Amino acid sequence: MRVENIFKQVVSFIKPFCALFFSFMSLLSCTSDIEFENQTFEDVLVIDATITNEFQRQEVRLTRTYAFGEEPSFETDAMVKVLSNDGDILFEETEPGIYLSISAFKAEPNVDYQLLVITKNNRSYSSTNQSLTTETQIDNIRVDRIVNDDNVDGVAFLVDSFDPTNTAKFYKYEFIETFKVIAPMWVDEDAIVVSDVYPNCDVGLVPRSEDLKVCYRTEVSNQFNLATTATLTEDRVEGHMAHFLSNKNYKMSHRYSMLLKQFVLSSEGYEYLENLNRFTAEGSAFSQVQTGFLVGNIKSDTNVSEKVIGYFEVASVDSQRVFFNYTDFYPPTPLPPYIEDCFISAPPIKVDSQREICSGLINIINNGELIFFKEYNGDPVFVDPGPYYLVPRACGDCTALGTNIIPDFWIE
Amino acid sequence: MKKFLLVLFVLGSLVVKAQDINKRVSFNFNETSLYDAIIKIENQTDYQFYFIETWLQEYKVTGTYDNLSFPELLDEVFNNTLLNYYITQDGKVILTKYNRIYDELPNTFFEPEIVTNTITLAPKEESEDPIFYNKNTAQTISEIQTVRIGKEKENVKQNAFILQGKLANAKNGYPAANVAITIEGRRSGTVSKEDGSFSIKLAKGHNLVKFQSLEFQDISKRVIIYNNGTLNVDLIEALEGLDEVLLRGNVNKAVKDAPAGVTKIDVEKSKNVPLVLGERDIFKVAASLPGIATAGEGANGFNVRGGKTDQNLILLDDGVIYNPAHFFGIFSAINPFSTEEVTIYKGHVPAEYGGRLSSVFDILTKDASVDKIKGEASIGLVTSNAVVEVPIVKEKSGLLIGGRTTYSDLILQNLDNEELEKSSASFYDVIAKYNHKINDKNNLKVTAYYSKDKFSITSDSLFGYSNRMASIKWRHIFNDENTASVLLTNSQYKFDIEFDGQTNRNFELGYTLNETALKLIFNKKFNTKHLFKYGLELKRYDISPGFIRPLGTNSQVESRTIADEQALEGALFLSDIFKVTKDLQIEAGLRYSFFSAVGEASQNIYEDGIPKSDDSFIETRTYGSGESIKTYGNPEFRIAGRYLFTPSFSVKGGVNTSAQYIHRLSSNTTASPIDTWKLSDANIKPQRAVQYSLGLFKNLNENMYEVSLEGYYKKSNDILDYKVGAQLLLNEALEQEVLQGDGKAYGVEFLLKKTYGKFNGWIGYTYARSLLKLDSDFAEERVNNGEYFSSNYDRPHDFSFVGNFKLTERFSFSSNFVYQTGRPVTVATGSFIINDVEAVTFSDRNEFRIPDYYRLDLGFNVEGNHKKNKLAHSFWTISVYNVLGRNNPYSVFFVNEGGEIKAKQTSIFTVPVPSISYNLKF
Repeated sequence: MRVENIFKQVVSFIKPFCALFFSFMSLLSCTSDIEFENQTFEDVLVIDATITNEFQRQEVRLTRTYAFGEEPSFETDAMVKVLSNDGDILFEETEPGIYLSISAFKAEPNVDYQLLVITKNNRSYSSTNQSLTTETQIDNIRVDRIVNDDNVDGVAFLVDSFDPTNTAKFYKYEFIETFKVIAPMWVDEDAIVVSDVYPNCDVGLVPRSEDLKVCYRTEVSNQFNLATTATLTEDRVEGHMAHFLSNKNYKMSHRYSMLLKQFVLSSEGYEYLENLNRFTAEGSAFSQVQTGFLVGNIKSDTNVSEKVIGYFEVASVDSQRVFFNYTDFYPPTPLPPYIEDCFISAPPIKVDSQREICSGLINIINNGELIFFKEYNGDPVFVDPGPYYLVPRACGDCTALGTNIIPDFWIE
Repeated sequence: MKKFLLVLFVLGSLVVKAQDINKRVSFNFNETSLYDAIIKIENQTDYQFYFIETWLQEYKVTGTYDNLSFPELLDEVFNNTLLNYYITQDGKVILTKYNRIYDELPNTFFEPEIVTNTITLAPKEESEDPIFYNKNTAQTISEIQTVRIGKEKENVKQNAFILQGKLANAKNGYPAANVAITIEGRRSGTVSKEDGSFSIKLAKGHNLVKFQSLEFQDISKRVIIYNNGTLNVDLIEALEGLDEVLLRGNVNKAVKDAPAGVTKIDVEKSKNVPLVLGERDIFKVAASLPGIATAGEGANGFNVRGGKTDQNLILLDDGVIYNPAHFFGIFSAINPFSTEEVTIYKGHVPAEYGGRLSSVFDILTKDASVDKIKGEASIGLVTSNAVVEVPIVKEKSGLLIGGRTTYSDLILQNLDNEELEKSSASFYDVIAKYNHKINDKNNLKVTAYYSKDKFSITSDSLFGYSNRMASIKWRHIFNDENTASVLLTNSQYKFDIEFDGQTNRNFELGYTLNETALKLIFNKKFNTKHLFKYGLELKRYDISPGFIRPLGTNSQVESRTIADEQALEGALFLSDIFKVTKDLQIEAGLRYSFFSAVGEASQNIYEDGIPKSDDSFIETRTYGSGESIKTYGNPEFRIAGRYLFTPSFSVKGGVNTSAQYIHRLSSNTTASPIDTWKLSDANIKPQRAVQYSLGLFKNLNENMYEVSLEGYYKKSNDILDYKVGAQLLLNEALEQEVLQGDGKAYGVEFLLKKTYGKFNGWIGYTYARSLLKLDSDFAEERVNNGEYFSSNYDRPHDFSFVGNFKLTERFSFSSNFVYQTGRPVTVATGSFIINDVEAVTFSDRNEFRIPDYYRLDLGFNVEGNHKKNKLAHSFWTISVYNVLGRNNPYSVFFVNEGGEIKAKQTSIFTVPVPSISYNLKF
């Protein structure tokens, strides 16, 4: 028998209103940015490894910690394998820092898995044994228009799930969202450079492809979304908000699709992520949590005091896709503001006699930042106008934001 | 009848500098009225005179006074009058009629100075008014009561008889000692003893007996005596105008008291410290003294000499108060109007107290008046407060009732902010104390206290916490040498959270702590050298560490209760205050404390020698009712000594050990109301500490200034701390989340205090460190590589200044300045990506500090006039908190804002906060 800490998560219910308590205190209080100087950051290996019961090439990512404002660096040329009583599974590096299992496989119940990583400088890391968590289905995803706690009108994705065995309990949600982007200022003509050889600097118009009008953009979730039923009598997730989209978000302007994944985690793995989340969650001003280095289930075999970040999880996963149209919840107009500020300009063609080059509009068309909207109509607002009105590329060409290839799963 | 000896005469003359009494002055008066002469002297010197105008009528002054010192001048001017004068240090001349003001006690009473020569007594003419008196003395004489003692018998040859009796303070019945008893026209007299008794020989027939002392109003009795007899007299306190003399009588305490590290706060005086939101707060005053620090605005609790916030024993009339704060620490939950005095033991803790490592805050409630109804009230912007004292049985018993509440709800509802309109916040506290003097030997005091806080921040949550306390104290005097007290107290702390939202997770959650204690204390004087105090204390704790139950029919929250915890804590103590020589005094105490966690309870058992976790868990063992789970015992030594180099210069030192069996669980830096208290058990050991202290104490300028320098070194063991990310609420396996390590604290405290005068206040500076070490063979139990690191409350520099400037009797300024090193924090130093989410890595624990804290508060008090016959006395307090508008960080946290990690600080009261309150006293 293990000791259950199932009440721990009650704290996560309390947190939201602690945060609100602070908004009350904000009568007299304020929150502002603060900077700490002379920070030294520690370069630590990060092992991001979750294998699932989905039949696929499983993925392990090896990166390193990085200073604020910088990009993560990859841990390349490492040896990665998962040991199990069904045999060892080898991984290969397909992109820098990304290691895929050489063949596709799915994690099976009642099998112990252990992750083993040996980096190129010959340091060895291994996890404790993990086994697959309870397989639980998403019963339903409701897409509802709501006004959230911050008084924002928008669309919520509410998940229901039920595990009759009452053993799943710890859930993580991730999603991949794909949405239609329609370039609001798409026109059927494009400006091109006819001649940029000094002194003949000239521009002209050609037809623009219809393909640049409608695109599909895909993004993955970048926030932790965790839920537990540990404090409930039944292992029933009911109306858990997996995501919320404000009605001011351009993503929902036309048609929106979400592939929601529900992972069932181990209680320790859940706790690990929950703590990481608490470290940077709003509201921790009051419910201060003891921050510091979190010990996961992966340890360095070479040097026991070496820090290593990550939790090797063998999680069951289920996913479901939902679609909705903006007009399902809101009148057709107005639409949410477009992602790009579509300002109009009319830059002139410049013939630089000093350096003997063409510049101005010629350069702008060449680098593609702005694109044709319509011909200049003599509006006196523009000083020294050129022949065309231009707008930022994303306003007239949706491929600036996504792909114009309709995804396989897309249903209109 | 109360006489106001002093009437504030000249409000206009504001500035009084230090006086040079020997400065030469010259005056010329010609048939000038005494009143005009005094005004003239006032105008030409820096002195101010206080007197009753009618005294001066009829006197004229004539003469040329050339190049005299000020006292010489006054001698001349008041020659041939009935007036005496007294010159105070700050340039006040207090005139008295007949009698003098003495600046020392009490030898001079035997001098034949108290002489009024205007009464003529006619022996044996008692049936008629026998007295012929001079017109000048009419006011006084007319109040003299005539007492007849014994029956006149013929043939009695005796010419003198013995008059015996007892003098007592009319207010509280305490014996009035050191009262001079003199007989008009005779050069003999006596002084009352410590128990108020006296005995004096009177001539047969008429005697005018005067009772005089600085403490009481003078009173005369016309005693017609024909035989030996008894006369008991109640004396009325006469404190007006003599405050300073009285104060100086006590002030030498700082030098002479044996233990170091003991501070008394005079609550009445604390009214001059500037307020936040118009609330007087004894704890804020305490925090301005060296060695006592708070974590900042909106933070509960105190760190005393580098100790944790749970290491302070806060006693209200001997009962423990667990969370004496309202509104997350912005207001104190102790009513200042009902509070008589607070004694803070931060160094030497007497052996009768125990159970906390760092300090004892001993808060005493006022005894209710037994002779007339009294009251005090204040109305502020956010809170109101009233205290009433009602005599129940005249001269025997009285009841004090006090209450405070806030109208913040009203404010919130009227705010033009949708978010805040939904929230509510309210609190109140009430106190009642009944004191009954059963007889000369027995005294009973009963106190009941309750405080409650409630918040509803959103429509779906309700949060509340409360303190409840009751105490009964019976004091019995066996004889002059032996007294005993019996104390019975009960305290409860409770919090409750209700969450009523949209989902299936609505719940109610609560925590309750209850303790009941019985304490017996015996005092025994043994010759003049020893004062023994001994006794025992027994305590029972009952804790319900938490329950959660579903709220509403839709809720699927599983109803669960964490098993109750019980424990017994006891102590035997013995101490002796031993006057070794005139200069050397030792207070030696021994306390043996014991603790037993008892059933009915369950206890998680783990494998030895490896970290407590699910992996090392063996079983949950259950214990039957009353069955002992784990027992601890600790001998505690409380030794302090004082040596007087001179009467105003002493050195004090001490060694103190202590043990603590109940711990507040809080991963916050500051205490919060949802912190739970946990008893020691098989898995959580008691905390222990030893403190060594040494200090030098010096009073200067006739005790006007007190200077002290104290140093301490404190070592503690098994101090509780927490693993990274510890979850403490409703956790059945708390021992898996906590760490126990060693603490080390040391510091030097400097205090300079000006105790009286137009300008008074203090400057305190502390240099102190507080360090912690969490070491283990296992990485998950080791913090900062197992080396000492700064505790959350390690603030090396702490400076405070409190100053009051009395402009006139009615107007005064007060100010308060605080500077503290910013407290240590753990900060995010880098990022990493996991599950496509950017997360943060942290520095070593408490490696960085938030910016330094400083704050200036200013206050201005306006008192109503001091007219004698006013029904009530009132004053206005106007204050500005944080005048400099300093943005003092309260906490630091890190947020992931749209994928970018940002460090944020929260501050409370970032702008100057003005407030005004009206206070009334009757």
